[in-house]
Amino acid sequence: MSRHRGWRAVAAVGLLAVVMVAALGGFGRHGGRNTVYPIAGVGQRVDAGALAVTPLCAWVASGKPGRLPNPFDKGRYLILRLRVENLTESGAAATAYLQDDVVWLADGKTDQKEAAQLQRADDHSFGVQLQPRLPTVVDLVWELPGGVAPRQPAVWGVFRRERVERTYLTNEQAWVQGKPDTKLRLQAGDACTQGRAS
Amino acid sequence: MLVAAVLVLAAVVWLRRAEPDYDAKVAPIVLPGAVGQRVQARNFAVEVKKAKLAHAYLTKAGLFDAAPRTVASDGIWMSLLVEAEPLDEPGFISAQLRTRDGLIYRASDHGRPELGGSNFNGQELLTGLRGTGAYFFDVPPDRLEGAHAQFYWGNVTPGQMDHLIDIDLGLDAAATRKLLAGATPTLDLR
Repeated sequence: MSRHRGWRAVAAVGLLAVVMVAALGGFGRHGGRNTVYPIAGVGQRVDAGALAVTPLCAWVASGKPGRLPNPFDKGRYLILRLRVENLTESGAAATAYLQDDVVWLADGKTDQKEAAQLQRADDHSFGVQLQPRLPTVVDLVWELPGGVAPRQPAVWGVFRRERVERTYLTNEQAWVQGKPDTKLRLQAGDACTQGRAS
Repeated sequence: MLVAAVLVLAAVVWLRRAEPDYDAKVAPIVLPGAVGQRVQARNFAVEVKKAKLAHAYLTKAGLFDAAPRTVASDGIWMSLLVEAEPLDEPGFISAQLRTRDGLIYRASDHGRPELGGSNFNGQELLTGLRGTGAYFFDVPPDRLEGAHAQFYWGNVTPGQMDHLIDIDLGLDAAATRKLLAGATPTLDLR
């Protein structure tokens, strides 16, 4: 079968697809591990297309924000507080965009992890809704693997998301995740007092 | 012959360009209405009775709360008191606000504010029972003027080629100013 030209062509196309996916994959892979991305710190707004995010603070805690102490929960958590602006025309999918587009880079370059959960910063509720043009302060929560303290300063990656008038598969307009855009670099401290959107 | 072929080709190109895009082809079918008017869609009916504004709500304490819960807005809360009724089967009637410039604000989930069964967003409603409840929207105050409330079947997004009830809230400049002036700092919903 491997001598058959058609199968060779299919194999070549398949290999090319794998290489392309790997090349476009994420932080550290796009353009190589040493690609230099713009870095934003506390209070610096990042416009990433569909969303604009402003990191406010980050901290490590033994419980999730707003939860009562739980003796059965032995986990430790890394929390990033962001002011988020939805720049799309609808509040329908923006929360999913946030979860997909802001990732923790455990080693500062790669090993990207999506937040396990999103909570509003003011009342800690899980029903995060990012309405258009209405800044909202959100806590993104990651459980630290093995409870091990994160690398300091902690680094997050922000992907760009652009509006596509006609997607290839369905011809529908959509906001599609693009390339890695910016890194957020913050010292993860013990507490965070900033919490209101304004 | 050549001229005819060119004309046919030009016609094909023109028709292709004039063809509506996919989103336009499958857009919901809009049923217009006004406040105080019952509008019946394929399988549900809605009547918006009143709109009200508040900066925050006070709701009952949750199971683990020590005190009543304050539900703050990022902009301002608009509540719409409605009568809603599924006509064929039990299900969800969802709501969104469409601003004058086309932005869509979805109603807040039924846990925010938590009102038992009275926050209709995400609340399953029973067939043939006209329920009275409300939908809540967190909106920038400067986007209220000209906004319409829209209702659709299901709890995701408006169905393609399904009915979308569109209620003109009558929010011209004067009505919006009056509504904003009457906004309650904290509305007690306990």
